Amino acid sequence: MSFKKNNIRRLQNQGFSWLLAISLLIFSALSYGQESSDSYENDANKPVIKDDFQWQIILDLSLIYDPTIIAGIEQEELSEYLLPGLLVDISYKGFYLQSNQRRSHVLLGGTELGYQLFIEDNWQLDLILKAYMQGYDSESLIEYGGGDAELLAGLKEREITIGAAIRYSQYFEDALFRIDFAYGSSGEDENEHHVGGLIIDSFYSYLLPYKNWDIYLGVGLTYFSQDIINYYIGVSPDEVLATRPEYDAEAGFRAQAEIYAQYPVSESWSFHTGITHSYFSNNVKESPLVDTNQTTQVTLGVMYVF
Amino acid sequence: MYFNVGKGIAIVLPTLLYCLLVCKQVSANELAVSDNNKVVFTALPEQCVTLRQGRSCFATVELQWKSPSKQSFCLYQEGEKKQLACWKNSNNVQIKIDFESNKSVKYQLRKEVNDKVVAEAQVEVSWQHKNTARKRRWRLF
Repeated sequence: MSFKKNNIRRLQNQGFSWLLAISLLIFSALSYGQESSDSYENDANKPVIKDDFQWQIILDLSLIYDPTIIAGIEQEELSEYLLPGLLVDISYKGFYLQSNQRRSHVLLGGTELGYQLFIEDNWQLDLILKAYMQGYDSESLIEYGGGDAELLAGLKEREITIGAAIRYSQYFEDALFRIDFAYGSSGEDENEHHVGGLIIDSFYSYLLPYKNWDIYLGVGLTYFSQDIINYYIGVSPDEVLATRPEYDAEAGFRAQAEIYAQYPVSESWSFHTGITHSYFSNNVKESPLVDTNQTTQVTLGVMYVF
Repeated sequence: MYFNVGKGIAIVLPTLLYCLLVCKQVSANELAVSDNNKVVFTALPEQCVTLRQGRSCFATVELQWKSPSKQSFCLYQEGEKKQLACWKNSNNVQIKIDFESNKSVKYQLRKEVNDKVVAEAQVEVSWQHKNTARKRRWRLF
């Protein structure tokens, strides 16, 4: 038996509605009373300054094979593979709302709200607000998606983890290294205590141009504190069943390797494809809610630039 | 379970990609400039698209010229002294060249005898993302 993935995405999107609202408020307030911005072209002789007003919207029509480590969650219908996404990039006076084209396919789910603290030629320091972990709601998934009731029934809803982070980015000729030091805020535990903890998220991306293709090779390493891991895959005493023993999870790591390629078909359309393999530390497999510590995500689709 | 869905993917995506590629071909209008002798000179595709401004664009460009009478012409890239090709007493010629440039390129058809330009065709280089400082960085992750 399996959970429907669309239900997970609905949950993620709910978590982002407030983030979008805050972003729009910020950009609206900043734009009010300002003269229209000049188009600013950066060149090697000018100092790097904070961004003026820029925006871009991309419609992403992708097919994605997206397994999770949680037992029983599988994609079954074609519609569960289809992921239309709206990728929004806006920047103004150091504030920005940006989407990660390659690593987010959920409507607004991969959006980051940020502020540029320091910008130098080769490095940058930002404040970031983004989602670091996806949530899941076993009750609605079982009810509407035919999930594995025996294994997952009665679990409390796991909410999305929003993290406030300071991000350091180092730019190389054709590569980027970034590391986020974040405080991740999840939902509440069985005692209605707020759950939060440290997340250290790093990623290195190397751009390999080949003719008109952009090929990106990436590796990432992320640390999740014990509180956060336990929130998602731990089993609290009031969630214990005969088939689901109590479980306290430890802190964990996630390592990722990916290859992603993009090709322009016209001025507005591009084709993209990518494979991301994620490897979670071995201890997550000890959770009764988890059936694997490795997943491979595959995406294939087209994007339209407005 | 996955097998059936996979078949769906196998049908939908190639269809979509085929449509995009065909649409691109259809939209590639011929660009031609002709002189009084009605020499028609075209470059296809007329547009080469890169993902980001400043990147070199790669394409195989087909240049073709037609004339009612037999002519002797040479093909040049504007601004370059060396000819790409020459033809004697021809009236319908096609040539494929490997195009690589980060800016638009104009090709000229000149008379062999006096180097006079009789026709021009251009391959325009365009891009999806303008290369502002921020977007250059955005695209790296």
